[in-house]
Amino acid sequence: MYEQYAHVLIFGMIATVIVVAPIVLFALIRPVRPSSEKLSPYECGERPVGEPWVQFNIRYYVVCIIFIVFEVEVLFMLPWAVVFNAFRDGGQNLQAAAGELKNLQGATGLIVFLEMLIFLVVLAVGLAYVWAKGHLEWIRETTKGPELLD
Amino acid sequence: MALGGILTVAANLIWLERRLLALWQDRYGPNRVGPFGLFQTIADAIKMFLKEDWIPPFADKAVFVLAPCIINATALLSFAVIPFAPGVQVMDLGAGLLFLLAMSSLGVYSVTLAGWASNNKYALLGGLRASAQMLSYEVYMSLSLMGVVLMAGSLNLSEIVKAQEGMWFCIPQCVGMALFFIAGIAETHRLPFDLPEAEAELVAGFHSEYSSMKFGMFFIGEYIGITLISALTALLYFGGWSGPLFGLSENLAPFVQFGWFALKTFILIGFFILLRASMPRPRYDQLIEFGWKAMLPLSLLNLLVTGAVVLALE
Amino acid sequence: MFDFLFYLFAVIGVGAALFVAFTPNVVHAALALVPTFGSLAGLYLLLGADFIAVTQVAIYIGAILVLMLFGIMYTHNIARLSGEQVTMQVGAGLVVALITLFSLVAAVISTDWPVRELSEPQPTVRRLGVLFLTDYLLPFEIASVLLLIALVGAVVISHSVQAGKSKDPS
Repeated sequence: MYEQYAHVLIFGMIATVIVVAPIVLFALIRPVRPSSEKLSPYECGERPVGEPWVQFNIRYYVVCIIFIVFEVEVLFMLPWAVVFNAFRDGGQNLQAAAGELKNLQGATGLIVFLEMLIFLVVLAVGLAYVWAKGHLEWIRETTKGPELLD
Repeated sequence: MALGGILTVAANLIWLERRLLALWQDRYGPNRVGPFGLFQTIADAIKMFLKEDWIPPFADKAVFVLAPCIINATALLSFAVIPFAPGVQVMDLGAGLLFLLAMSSLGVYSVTLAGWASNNKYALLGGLRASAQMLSYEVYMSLSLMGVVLMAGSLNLSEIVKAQEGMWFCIPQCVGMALFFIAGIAETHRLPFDLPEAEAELVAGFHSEYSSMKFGMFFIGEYIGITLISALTALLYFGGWSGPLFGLSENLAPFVQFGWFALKTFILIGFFILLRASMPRPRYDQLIEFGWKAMLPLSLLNLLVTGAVVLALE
Repeated sequence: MFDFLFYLFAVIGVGAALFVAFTPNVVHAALALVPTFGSLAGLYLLLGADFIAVTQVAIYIGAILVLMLFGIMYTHNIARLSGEQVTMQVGAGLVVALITLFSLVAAVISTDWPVRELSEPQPTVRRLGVLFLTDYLLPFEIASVLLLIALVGAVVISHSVQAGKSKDPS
């Protein structure tokens, strides 16, 4: 397994070189022609007004938080999905796959399925709550205050 | 070598896309440089290499340069776990799919940082849109994958392909496949989900201020992303390299298998381009709400139903 | 080779962490956390914990750091602040730092570190799955409740922020 990681490391290094090389190498022959028009941010020819770092909608932050919750959930579910098949037949395959784990405590496919169902239902409750409270709506009545950009 | 191949494919996809779009929209497309305009890509590349590489003085320089590198490096690294034919891959990682998910979650940095570092209103809005979109669709993507993982009982891509010997997963997992593909389009922010770039409103969004090779890297990164999503769809749902071998000998078999894999990937890429040719762009609020209210419940339901069916079949 | 990689990751991790502590630019500091967490993932890999390593990348780098970046962008112009970082409470900070250092060192010294011959690492996902569904079922389900609380809490807090905003448009 270490050998494989080493492959990836080498692969990654080559990938980085390939990505960086064109920028660095051709920088030697690229023209450099500064002019005053290039000094201002591009806004379709208009003169930029105000700070570029505008105050933006808080919803982006909320999306990010909800994302973290579900990403963690996904990572919890992946091991379940991997072993579910093996549990179905009473864990015979599983014994072969993960020899040292002998204590399956009589878990069968149905029990494992139900265990996951509980996990999912709890999260579905969360989703339903967020949905019912209207937090999944991007445009909401409550954001009527100051004119927020996008 | 594989890397060079991927880059060449991705670059020439730009030509392919322009030709196909032209075909579907009843135009000519690039047809001057070389036969059928085949050398258009080379001409474009030379142009990219030789253009002035402008780093705006108002930008955060280090981050500005870093951003386009990230998208390419992560997309290329993702190919490390893709099996092109049995045994032909850089790394046969036990948790290959997991590795892919981790890499795709790194792609978010590229757009967020590009948008932020450009110090431009359009770029910032584009970057924000892109990151929220990529984050949320990544969840649906990994959830829709779960059905495949459940049926194959493995995260290893080669084993997933082997598990499809009886039947391709595109039949039992048709819902999951549709969800995965939609999420894939959003993840690469391609049309119809190209809101981060939306030239009509954001004039190229997060890469407004980019020029020369750095712009080129965003551009090619997008096409590497398309290739990756198509290759993944082929692997996970269309049996990867499996296909008739025409009774060829052992030595030739890998080539034919690679051919099947490439063919499937290219059909899917063609589908990507067809979508661009034919679909209008939704509003941003529609995109996000569609994600939370349709994609997420559907992918959870798909997972549960898959689990129940797998259980019942026993 | 193992030692070399270990020290490589360790140097990257510590170096990037020092950069986080000393750079005046908040965005650069947040970005420098990427190699810090990344080298931690590398260390996990070296210890044969492939699932934890990928989780580290996907959750810490791919999600939590993005959230931090968002937070920085929300704080108006904080990234543009230059000049000296003013530390108001040098004394209190020093005390806290010393206490932390002392307890860490004490923990390191008093722990009896078991040393084991390194075996070829095996993929851990299957074993994790089995353990989740048998021995550690209760923590597993409690984790889902925890996630539920996090979800509800997040939206409630953001909702109150927005409600406050609409009352007082400033």
